[in-house]
Amino acid sequence: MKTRLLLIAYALSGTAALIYELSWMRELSAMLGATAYAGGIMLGAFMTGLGLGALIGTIITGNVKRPLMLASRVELAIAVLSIVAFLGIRYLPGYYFNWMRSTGASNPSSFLALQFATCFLVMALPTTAMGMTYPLIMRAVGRDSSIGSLSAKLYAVNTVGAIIGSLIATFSFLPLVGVKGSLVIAAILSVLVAILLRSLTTPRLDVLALFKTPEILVAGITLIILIAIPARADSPLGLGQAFYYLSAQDFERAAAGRTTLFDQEGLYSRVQVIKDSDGTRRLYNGALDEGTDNDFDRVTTAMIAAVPAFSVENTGEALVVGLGTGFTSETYFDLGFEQTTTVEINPQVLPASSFFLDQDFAGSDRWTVVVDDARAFILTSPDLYDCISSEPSWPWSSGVAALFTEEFMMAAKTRLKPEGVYCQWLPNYLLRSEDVEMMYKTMRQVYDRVDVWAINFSNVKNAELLLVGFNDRNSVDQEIIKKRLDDLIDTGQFNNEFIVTDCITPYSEVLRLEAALADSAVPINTDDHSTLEYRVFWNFVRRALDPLAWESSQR
Amino acid sequence: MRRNVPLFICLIAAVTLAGVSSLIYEVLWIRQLGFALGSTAVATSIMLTAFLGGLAIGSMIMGKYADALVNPFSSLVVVEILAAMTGLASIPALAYAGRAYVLITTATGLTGFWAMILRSLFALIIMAIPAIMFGMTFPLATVIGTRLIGGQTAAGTVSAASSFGSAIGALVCGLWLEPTIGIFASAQVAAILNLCAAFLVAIAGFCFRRRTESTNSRILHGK
Repeated sequence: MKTRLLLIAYALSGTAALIYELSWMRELSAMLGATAYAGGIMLGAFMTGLGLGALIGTIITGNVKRPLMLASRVELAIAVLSIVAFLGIRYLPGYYFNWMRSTGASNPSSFLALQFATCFLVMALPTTAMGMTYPLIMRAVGRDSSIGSLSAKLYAVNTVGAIIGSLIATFSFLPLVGVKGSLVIAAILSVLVAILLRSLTTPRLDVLALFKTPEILVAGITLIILIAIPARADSPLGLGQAFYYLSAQDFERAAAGRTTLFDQEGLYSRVQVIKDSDGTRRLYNGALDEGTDNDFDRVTTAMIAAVPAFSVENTGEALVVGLGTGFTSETYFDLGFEQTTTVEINPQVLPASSFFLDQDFAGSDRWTVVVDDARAFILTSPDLYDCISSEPSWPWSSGVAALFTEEFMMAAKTRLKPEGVYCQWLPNYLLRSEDVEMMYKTMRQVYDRVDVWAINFSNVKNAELLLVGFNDRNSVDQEIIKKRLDDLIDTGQFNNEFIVTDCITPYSEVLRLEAALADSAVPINTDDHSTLEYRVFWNFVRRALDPLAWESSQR
Repeated sequence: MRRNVPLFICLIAAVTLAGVSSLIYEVLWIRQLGFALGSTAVATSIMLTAFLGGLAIGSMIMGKYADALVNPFSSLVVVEILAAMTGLASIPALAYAGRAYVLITTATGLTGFWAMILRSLFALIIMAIPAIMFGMTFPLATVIGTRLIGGQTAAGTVSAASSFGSAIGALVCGLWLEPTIGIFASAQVAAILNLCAAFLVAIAGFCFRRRTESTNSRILHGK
């Protein structure tokens, strides 16, 4: 009976650990940026804490008279210390943002070290306590003759508990009760584990007696404090904001005049629609600014549809990868496409997009939204399209990188009609010339003909690029496409002062890109080696944190 | 027991390397699964379930036999070699599974829930096998450590080494290996680490056996 109770307690401990981990990681990934680097750093910080705890636990076990009692107190300590972690993720982003701005641009190692230090600061205390439990339990019940069997049982039940914790946190707690609610649940589980371990220290189970112990008071106070700490109400401050704000105070000033129109925690992140004091609506996905409704941004979202649309002769079916504000999909609709399909991985973005879209379009049966991973959808959907426009989120975001590789472009090609085109958006303001060469070379592995278009603003030329790959290389000439676009813009259909004929032009450096095809030093962006993701990340960091150095390096 | 401390250090180094390798694989599987089968929350959960489930199964299986093993050193050597082989094979296997999944779904018109089940099955089978090997490491290393220096210290130290190894693996793979040399080359590094772990355990096992034999011989001859 006691062994079974011990295994149950240790399984619950595993469940709580994964709920803590996933909750912290959600908030930290908003702060650090949802990158592959951040993923490694967060996991590394968590495991370092566990290792430290196991080491401390091993060192102290020799002198401990009642190891199970201590294990119970350690479990209670996890709940108490989760307050420190919660305070960290709640109030650290501002400090982190300012540290990052003042020191982060110096070199990549110090930037990543700062990210690790921030994660470790948040997780260190509770994870160290988590790591201490195992050696204490082993000290209490382990016998040399059966140590392999016991350690395996403990390890296995803890791992099964961790699986349960990861599943319920991902699909239930985080979407339903958010980060704070999930942390409160995890703390309750830790308290429960502490009670179970404590009950094992007495000769017979006496639950009522447990409620007379001082630990119960500590547990109660812990839960009250956790509940009392307010959850974050405003949009998150993270790496993504480094592009727009010089300091946390700057961000707070801007945030003071904002109103929240939509706010929903989802499977992947917290999605918000915020209205600025000047009336601009912004879509946030985690801490990433995914788009606005201002005319400036709408130049790009309109051109991502208009350029491929005028590169084909038919206005049949279009596929848009990534919903965002929905303006690209809406442009296809306005240009008369019979059917537009949009693939979006995050279900919460769909209701959020209704704050941006025209109601005639949003309610139309000529528009379909598929909630799925775009890559999985393209690989398995039997439908063929005249145009595919790929405008996923920032290429440095974890998961999004899979939508910029040669293999993805090949998959998209199989979904094109014989005269169809594939349009790849590239944020040129974050790319160096060698990055553009790499992406052009990557796309030329798949398409014989690739037209390159520059999106220009009055103050910035070549701000963004569109690479259009043709299934049929003898399709419409680029000059004719430009004429069609100019004619459309001249009609004033876009009703946007920034959409003028000069805003979209053939890219002037195509000869350089062609020359790079033969250069073996220019890599191809593949699944196995997704170079763009990392290059764009460091470009983003340099540009956001040290714009002057970035500008001079670009020259 | 004190004279076994160098062998125990050898074991702990092996456990750390195995921990590094297992987390390199976890990071790579998250990436590879995203490429092959999509980056949905379901896909990520499948990966985590396969990884953790494999660890639990491996631990349970080996836990039944570990205490009774005459030579747990050689068992751990075999487990590490199998972990290297199955772990390395899992990376191209996931890519092929992605292709097989596309062929099956397009041929049968499978969509929605059943397509997801198929996706899950592919991922679970491919990742669970090396994860089972990783899971077997823990009880075997605990038993070996106990025979070398005694149970209480051995169990905690093995746990700490495994966690530190995992931390190093997550950091090294996420920050340096995968961004620099790509997915498959990183998997090759992980496999080499498993083989290094096997080598260290083999050396420790060899020395331990020699020492035990010489002790037994001295006892036998009354010296």
